[in-house]
Amino acid sequence: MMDEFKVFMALSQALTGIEALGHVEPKSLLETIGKDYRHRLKEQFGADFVALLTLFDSKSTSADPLAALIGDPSFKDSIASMAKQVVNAWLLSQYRIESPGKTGDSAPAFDTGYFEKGFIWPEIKAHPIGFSHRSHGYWTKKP
Amino acid sequence: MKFDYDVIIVGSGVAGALCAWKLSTLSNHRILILEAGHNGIGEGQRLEFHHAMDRQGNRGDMFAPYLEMESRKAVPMPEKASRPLEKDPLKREEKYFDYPATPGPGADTFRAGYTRMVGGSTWAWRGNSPRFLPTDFALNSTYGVGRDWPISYNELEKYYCEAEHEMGVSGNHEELDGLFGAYRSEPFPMTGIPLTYSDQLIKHKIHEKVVNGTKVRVVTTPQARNSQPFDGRPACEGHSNCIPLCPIHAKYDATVHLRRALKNPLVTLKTAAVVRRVSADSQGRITNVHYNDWRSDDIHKEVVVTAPIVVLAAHAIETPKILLMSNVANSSGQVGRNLMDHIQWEVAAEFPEPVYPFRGPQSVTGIEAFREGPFRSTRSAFRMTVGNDGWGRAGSPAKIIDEVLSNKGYGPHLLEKVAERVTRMTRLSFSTEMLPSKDNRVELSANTEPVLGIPRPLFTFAPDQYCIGGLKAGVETATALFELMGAKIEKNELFKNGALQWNTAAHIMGTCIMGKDAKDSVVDHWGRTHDHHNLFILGSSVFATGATANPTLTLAALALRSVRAIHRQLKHGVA
Repeated sequence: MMDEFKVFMALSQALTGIEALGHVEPKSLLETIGKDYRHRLKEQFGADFVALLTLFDSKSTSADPLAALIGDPSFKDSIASMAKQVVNAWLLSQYRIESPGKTGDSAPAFDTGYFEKGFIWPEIKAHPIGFSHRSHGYWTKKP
Repeated sequence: MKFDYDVIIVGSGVAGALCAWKLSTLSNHRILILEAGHNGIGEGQRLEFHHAMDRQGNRGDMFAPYLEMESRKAVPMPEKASRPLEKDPLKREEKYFDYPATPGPGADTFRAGYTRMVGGSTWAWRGNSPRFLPTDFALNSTYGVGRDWPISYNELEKYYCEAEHEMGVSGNHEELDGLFGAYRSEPFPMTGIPLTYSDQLIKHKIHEKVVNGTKVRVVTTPQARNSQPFDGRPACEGHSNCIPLCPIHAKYDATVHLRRALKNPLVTLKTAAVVRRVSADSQGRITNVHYNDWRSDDIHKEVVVTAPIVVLAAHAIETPKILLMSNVANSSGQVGRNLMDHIQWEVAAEFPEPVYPFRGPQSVTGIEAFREGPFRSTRSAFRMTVGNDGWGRAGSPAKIIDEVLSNKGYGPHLLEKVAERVTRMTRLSFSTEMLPSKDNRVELSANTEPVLGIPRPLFTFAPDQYCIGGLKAGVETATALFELMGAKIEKNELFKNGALQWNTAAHIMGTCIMGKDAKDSVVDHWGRTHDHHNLFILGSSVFATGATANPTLTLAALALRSVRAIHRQLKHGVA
């Protein structure tokens, strides 16, 4: 039987390329966040979430599980959208509910609770929007 | 007659707050502020709004911090109130804004939102505070279009200075003194916000360059945002969250003057009070204000309070609604007409090197050079903003992430690919001027809001050819500027399938227009209604033209000027 959390974290690491997601320490904040994201995404997307995890788990013995996943014929429509929401959760701490005509950033967004921990912020050398923790004028310098 | 108060002010936004505070400093006036909303004005409330925003997925939405307020049940907030003109399966016709059942040819939606809260729409403004130009007050006599105001820039100038001081406007005097004749008799109370790294790169590429025959100067936008500790509030820390909420109160909002006013025991703030109408005494003076208290045991009970002077400062939709519901001050037939917004568009691009947006205020600089010229006889001028918030409304980092993922960019290089593009995101946006037109208007809908049964606003609205000309010129100019920068311009469609695409600046103006002639305007140059000399109107509803500058500073200056007339009238009667 699939260890859902373990598979979710492996999937998250593969999709985002964030190495830290591949080896979370027990009882660490990252583990807490991961468990929370798994819970929220499963609650919201149900069958699509399970289907994506199952599909990824089936590729675990491939030489390149990520390539095998996104190359699979079923990686489209709601499954592809599900994969995007896993990435959105880790990068922006939000997911979107896409529908025909409402995709990408035009789809309604929902908070997943760890906005300040989004992995995008250090990568773009910005603070989480709304949380500068810096003093006046820091923005004049190249980061 | 014995009155309950000396002055009743309806609305606690920037106009109402400044009026209450200034009047309270001039004499022992007994002042009542009636406000439909019900929220705190302290720092605890700010913190709570920040947490509320954190719980919203779409954090950048200008209403995100305020979506959980209890008041929204009884006092609809017109966020996302714009909807298609026709009824649709999503039942968006149930939103607060209403349109005629059969919209006329060319009709468009009215898209500007506003906040019905203690503190008004300054809870959701960016803080940009440029002045109008002298010709903005004399558009008709200078260019033969629109209207003239009954006052001039020169008459308002000292009140501009006062408003800049009160609101704490930072800016660079030498950059703006004399701009198209707009002299400044005093420096700003503090120097301008320092340029962002992004601004510096952009300025380096285009400053002093000639584009479409105009020399471009990138200057610091005057903004009611502290560049140093001022008035008990800290300097901006660059949270990049000016809209919807400055988390540290470095940006001015009307709570500043509400708190000051309420230190005076003669000033009373009554929240949850939705004014239904005003009515006259036997001499035709508007002395009675009727409201419902939606937090009381009997929300339908009408409460009446009286004063010898009544001030409506409920912004440019609710103020005319109150007049129309009261059937007063409308002998000209102009109440609700001449509804204006700044019709806006933006061009997004990727700069040739990282500019690192989302660090610092959402915008620091702008280009004023396109606000004036002989072309104003045929098409609108525009004021251009240099964004520091990526692509602004044209797209967030989420858009870039989605594009990368849609190209199956998953895996080890995902973050790198995203950062490569997000760090180069920049935008130029421009606000154009609509001409005042009797056909653009707000009326009372036959449909009512569900709790108090008050008519919803009914809009007839369409951007005119004058501002569309300005939008086209704005696209051409922004395109030329980005070409100078060597930036890669994102797909930009001002017209899509023949339909004009535009954004609202949510700068609602007109509807109780100011003028010399009582036959075609609602108020005189003091903001006093022509029909009732003890009824004043404050706020951008009195604007005779919209110009291209953000309206808050001008409405604040006008309010401070009107206060003098109100005070004189309380002391000495009508001159």
